[in-house]
Amino acid sequence: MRRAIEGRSGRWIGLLFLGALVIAPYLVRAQSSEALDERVKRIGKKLLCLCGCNQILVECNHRNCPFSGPAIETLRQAARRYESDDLAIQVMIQQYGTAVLAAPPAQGFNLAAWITPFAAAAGGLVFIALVLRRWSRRHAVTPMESAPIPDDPAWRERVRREIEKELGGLS
Amino acid sequence: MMDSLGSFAVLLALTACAYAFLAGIIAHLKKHPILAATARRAGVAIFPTLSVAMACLWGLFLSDEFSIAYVANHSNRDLPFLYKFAALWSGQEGSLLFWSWILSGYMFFVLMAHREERELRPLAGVILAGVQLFFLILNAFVVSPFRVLAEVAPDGTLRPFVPADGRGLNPLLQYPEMVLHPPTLYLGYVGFSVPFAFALAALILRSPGERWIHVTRRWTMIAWGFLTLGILMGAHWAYAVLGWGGYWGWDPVENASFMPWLTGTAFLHSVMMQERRGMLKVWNVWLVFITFLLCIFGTFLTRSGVVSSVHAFAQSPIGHWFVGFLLLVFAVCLLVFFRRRGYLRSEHRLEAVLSREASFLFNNLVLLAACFAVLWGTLFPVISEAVTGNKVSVGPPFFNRVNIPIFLLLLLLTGMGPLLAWRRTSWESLKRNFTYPTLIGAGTSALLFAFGVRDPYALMAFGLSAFVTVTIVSEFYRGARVIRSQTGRTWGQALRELVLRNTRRYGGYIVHFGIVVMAIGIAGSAFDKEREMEMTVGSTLELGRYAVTLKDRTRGETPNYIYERLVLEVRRGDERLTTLTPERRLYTASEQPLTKVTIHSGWREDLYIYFAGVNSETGLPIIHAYVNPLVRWLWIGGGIVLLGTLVALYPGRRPMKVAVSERARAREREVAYAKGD
Repeated sequence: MRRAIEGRSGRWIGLLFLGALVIAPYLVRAQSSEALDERVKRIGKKLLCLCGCNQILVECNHRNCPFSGPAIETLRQAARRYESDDLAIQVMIQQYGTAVLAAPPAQGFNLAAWITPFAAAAGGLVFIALVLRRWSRRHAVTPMESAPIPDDPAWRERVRREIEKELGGLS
Repeated sequence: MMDSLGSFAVLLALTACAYAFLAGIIAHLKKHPILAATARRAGVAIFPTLSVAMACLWGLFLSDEFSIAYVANHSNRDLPFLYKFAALWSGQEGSLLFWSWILSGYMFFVLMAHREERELRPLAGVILAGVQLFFLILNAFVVSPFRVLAEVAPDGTLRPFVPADGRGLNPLLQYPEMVLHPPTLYLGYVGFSVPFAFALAALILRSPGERWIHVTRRWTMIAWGFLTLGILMGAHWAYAVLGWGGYWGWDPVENASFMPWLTGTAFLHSVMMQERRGMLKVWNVWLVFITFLLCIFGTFLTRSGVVSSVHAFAQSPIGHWFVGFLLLVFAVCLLVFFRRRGYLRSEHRLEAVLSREASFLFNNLVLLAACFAVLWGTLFPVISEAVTGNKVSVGPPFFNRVNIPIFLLLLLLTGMGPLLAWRRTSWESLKRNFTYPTLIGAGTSALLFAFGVRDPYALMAFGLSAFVTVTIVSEFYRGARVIRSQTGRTWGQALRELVLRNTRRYGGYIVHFGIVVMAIGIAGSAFDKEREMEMTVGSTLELGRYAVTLKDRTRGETPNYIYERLVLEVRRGDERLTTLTPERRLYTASEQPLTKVTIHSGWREDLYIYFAGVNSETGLPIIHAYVNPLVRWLWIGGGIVLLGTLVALYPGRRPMKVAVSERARAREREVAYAKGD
C-alpha cells in the first residue's frame, strides 16, 4: 500500500518535473521579453524621435510615425544582440547618425554644449564678485557705532519714511 | 467684399502708423507740439482700423469664404463655431495680423492713458509705432491673410477658385484651451513692447526721476502675468492633448516663450534695487531690452524654420525679415545706450554681500544663467552643424540635467531673499530668520528619505519648498501679528489689511508661494509610472493603485470627425472610481487623426490614459496608462502665481493711517498751542 502511494507520488513528481521542463523555456522567454521591453524603454529614453516632433523616441505617439516605429524595432534588435546599452546605442548612431541621441555626447565640440552654460554662470559669478569687491573698496564703510546720528528733522523724516516703506506701514 | 475691406483696413493702418512714426520723430526733433499731437492721433487710429481688418477676417471664417486662401487652409464648413473663431490665429498670416492688432491695442491704451507722462508718452508712442510699422509691413505685403485663391484657366490666365470645402483646422488645435492659449501668450509677448518703449524713451530723453521705472515695472508685470498664463495654458494643452504623459518637452517653441519669461522675472526683481537704492540702472535697462529682443527672437525661431519643432510654422520667407528687424532694434538699443550711458550711473553702491541687494544680484545671475542655458540648448544643433558639419539633437535629457540644479538654486534664493535686510544683514538676524526655515526644510527632506524617497533632486526640491514656505508664512505671520497688536483685529482681518497696505510686496510673496507649489508639482514627475497593454473586453490593466478594465469598444461619427471609443472602468482597491473614455478620431475635412486623452485627476496623482493604437495583427486596442504624481499642484501653483500678480498690480492703500492721523492731531495741537488755546 505504502509502496503504491510512494509510486503514485513519485509519478506525480515526475510529471510535475516534466511539465516544468516544458514550460520553463516559455517562462524564461516571457520574462526575458519583459526585461527586454524594459531595457528598450530605458535606452529609448536616451534617444530622440527624428520625425520632427522632438519627443523622446519611446514617447513619440504619432500615429503611423515614419521614424519611431522602425527605430524602436532596430533598437529592440540591437538590445537583443548586445548586452551593453552603449553598444545598442552605437548601433542606433550607425543607423541614424548622432542626431538620434537626445542629448549631445560629451566629447569633442559637443562637450561645449555641456560646459558652456555652467561656464557662463561661473563667469557671471566671478563678474559679480569683482563688482562687489570694487564697490566695497570704493565704499569704505564707517563703523556704525562711530557714525554720528545727525540731528536733522529732514534726515529723521527720510529714515522714518524708509522704515515705513520697508515694513509696509506696520511700525 | 470683406477681403477687400480687410486689405484696405490693413493698408490704412499702415499709412497711419507710418505717419505716427515719422511725424513723431520730426515732432520730437523739432519740438513741434502740433505735429506731435497729430502723430499721437494717428497712433490712436491704428487700433480701430486694425479692428476692422480683424472683424473682416473673422467674418470670412464665420461665413466659410473659401475663396480666401487662409480661410480655405485653416477651416471647413463643419468646424464648430468656437474653433472657426480661433482659426484666425492658427496660421502664419492670421497670427501675425492678430499680433499687430494686440500691439495696436496696447499702443491705443498707452496713448490714451499716461497723460501725466507728458514727455515720455509721445516718444514711447513713436517707438511703439516703429515696432508696429514692421508688423504692418509684413501684414500688408509679405504674409497677407486676405489673399484670394486662383487657378490657371485653360487659356493660361488666372481665375478665382473657390473649393467646395476648406482643408480644416489642425485637430490638435481643436481643444477649448487653444482658443485662449495663443491670445494670452501673444498678450504677454507683445506686452513687453510697452516697457521696452518706455525704457528706450526714458533713456533717449534722460528722463529725470524714477517715474519712468514705475511705469516700466507695471507694464512688465502685466506682460509677465499674461505670458505666465499663456505658458501655463500651453503646458496644460500639451498635457491634455498630445498624449505623451508630460506637459513640458523643452521644444524650441516652448523655450522661445520661456526665455523672455526668465529675463522678465529677473527685471521684476532687480527693478526694486533701482526704485529703492538707485542701483543697477544699466542692468535694468538691458534686461528690458533683452526681454523684448527675446520676444522677437522667439517669433523668428518659430516662424523661420531654423529649428525643427512640432509647434513651429513651416519654413517661410519671413525669417530674414525678423533677422533684419532684430539687428535693427539691437543696433538702436546699443546706439542709444552708448550715447546716454552717463545717465545710468548708480546712486549707491552695494555695501555687503549679506544684503537684499546681493540676493537680487544672485537671483538675476541664476535667472540669466537659466535663460542662457535654454537659449544655448535651443541653438546648439544649429551651431554644432555649422562648426562640425554633424547634426546633433538637444532634447529633454540635456535641458533637465542643466536646468534642474539652476532652478533648485533659484528656489533657495526665493526663500533667502525676503529674509535679508536692505543694505546689510547682521549674523544675529540671519540666525534668527533662518533657523526654523532651515530646520523644517532639512527635516522634510530627512522625513521623505526615511519614507523611501531616494531621488536626490526630488528630495532637494521638497526640502527647499518647505524652507521657502516657512519663510513666506513667517513674513505674513509677523506682519499680521503687528497689525493685530496695533488694532486688535482678527487674524483674517489683519492679514487682509497687511496685504492691502503693501500689495506689491505681499503679492510678490503670493507669487513665490505659487512657484513653490509648482515646484512640488514638477518634483512629482520623478515618481511617474507607466504601462502599455493590448486589451480585450473584460481584461484589466493594473498600474500603481489603479485597476483599469476595458468594458466596451464603440465606433461613431460627428459632422466633424469619426471616432473609435474605449469605455474603461477605473477601480482603486474595491472602490469604483470613474469611467474613462479615450478616443481615436479621424477628422473628415483634414483627414488627420487625433487621439483624445482622458485623465482622472486627484491631489495625489493623475491617472492618464492614452489610446495608443490598434494591433494590426490582432485588431485589439492598445492603451498606454501613466500615473503622474502631483500634477494638479502644478496647475494650482500657476493659479496662485497669477493671483499674486493681480494682488501686486492692485494699488496698495496709503500706509500708516494711524500714524498719519496722529501726526495730524499733533499738528493740530501745535497750531492750537501757537494760537494760545
